[in-house]
Amino acid sequence: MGWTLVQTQTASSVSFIQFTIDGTYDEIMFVVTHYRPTTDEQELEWQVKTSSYGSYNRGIQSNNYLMWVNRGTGGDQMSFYGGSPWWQDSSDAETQAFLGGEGTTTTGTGGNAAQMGASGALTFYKPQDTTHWKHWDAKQSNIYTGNGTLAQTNNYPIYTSGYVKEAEALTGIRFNCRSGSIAVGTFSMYGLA
Amino acid sequence: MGDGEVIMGLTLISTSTASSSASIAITSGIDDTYMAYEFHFYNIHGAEDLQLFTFQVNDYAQPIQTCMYRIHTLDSSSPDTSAGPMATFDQHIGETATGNGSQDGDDRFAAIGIYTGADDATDSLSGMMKLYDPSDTTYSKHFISRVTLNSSQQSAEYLHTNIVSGYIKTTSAVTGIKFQFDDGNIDSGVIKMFGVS
Repeated sequence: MGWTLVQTQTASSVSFIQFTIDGTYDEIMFVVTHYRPTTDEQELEWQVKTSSYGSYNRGIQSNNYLMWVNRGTGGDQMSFYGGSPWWQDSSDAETQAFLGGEGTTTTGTGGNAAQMGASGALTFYKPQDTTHWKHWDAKQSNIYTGNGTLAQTNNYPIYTSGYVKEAEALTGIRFNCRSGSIAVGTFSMYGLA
Repeated sequence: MGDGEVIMGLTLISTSTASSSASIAITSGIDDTYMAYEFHFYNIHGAEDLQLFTFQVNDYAQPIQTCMYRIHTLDSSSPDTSAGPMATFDQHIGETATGNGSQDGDDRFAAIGIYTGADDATDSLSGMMKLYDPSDTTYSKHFISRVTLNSSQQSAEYLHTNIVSGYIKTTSAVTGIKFQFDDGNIDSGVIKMFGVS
């Protein structure tokens, strides 16, 4: 059986989006499209809960690599974000960054707010496993502008990977902004048996 | 499109479960039915520490070229991070069975995961490899993989992300594939093969 759409939720100025993970699938994938925060420069993040830990604060170790290019003539670099919440160790127990966020900029050649969105996919492997930690990987592409000029309007493909340091089954996931609310975005959960 | 609806795209062809297995060989189901095949790895756990997770195809002696990019980080507030090309574990056309000092076992197998862990029960590898148009008889066969693994080294825990792309330099159809560690058994884990349509 191929990927099965489990549920879709549409955000409209909400604090968070949550999904229940019930262990039906060996792989689950969350596809988020056209995310924007209400507050400028606030990335979309996630955290999980497990069968005996009901709070969204599990230990996550992660890393990333990224590329960026601007709409002018600069950029074209490969790099990585070297700190939390994009790159964290499990003792942080922080929310993990997923999508870059641009909010309300409406001025300048690169500043059309409706275009300043981010989309991506986050996959978990064997979320129901009770022996191993939970591997995940994600990829995203976003548009961000510093001041609305072409030279500071950038595209960032970012790839993140890691594990949730829990041998228990994952039972839920929450998506929220680093600060503020999720202005818009479509969140779909898929399962692969 | 309603919730619960099946999205076409991946068709499950086979499921292979390791249990102290020397390797996992998939010798049927790779043909011209699909333009691409995906191999999904779930919690592959080796018997030996610090090994390579590798693959070969057909007669397991095919010329393979790879390019590996890797990121690793220590699970610590002083994370000992490193990222970049990992030429040490690139595979090269013309590799012989015993020609690569950085590998144990049969060096013609190409690495898609490095520094795998076995010390702790939680050590394992997950991810995906995609093989494009294996039944083609004109071109070399391209593939790309991305795996994530956690590996304990004494009291330290490492996270590794390995991205590998490459090609199998053959104009013969690829009809079989084998996965193994370069030393030691696959203690446990599951590999599912999907057809992409």
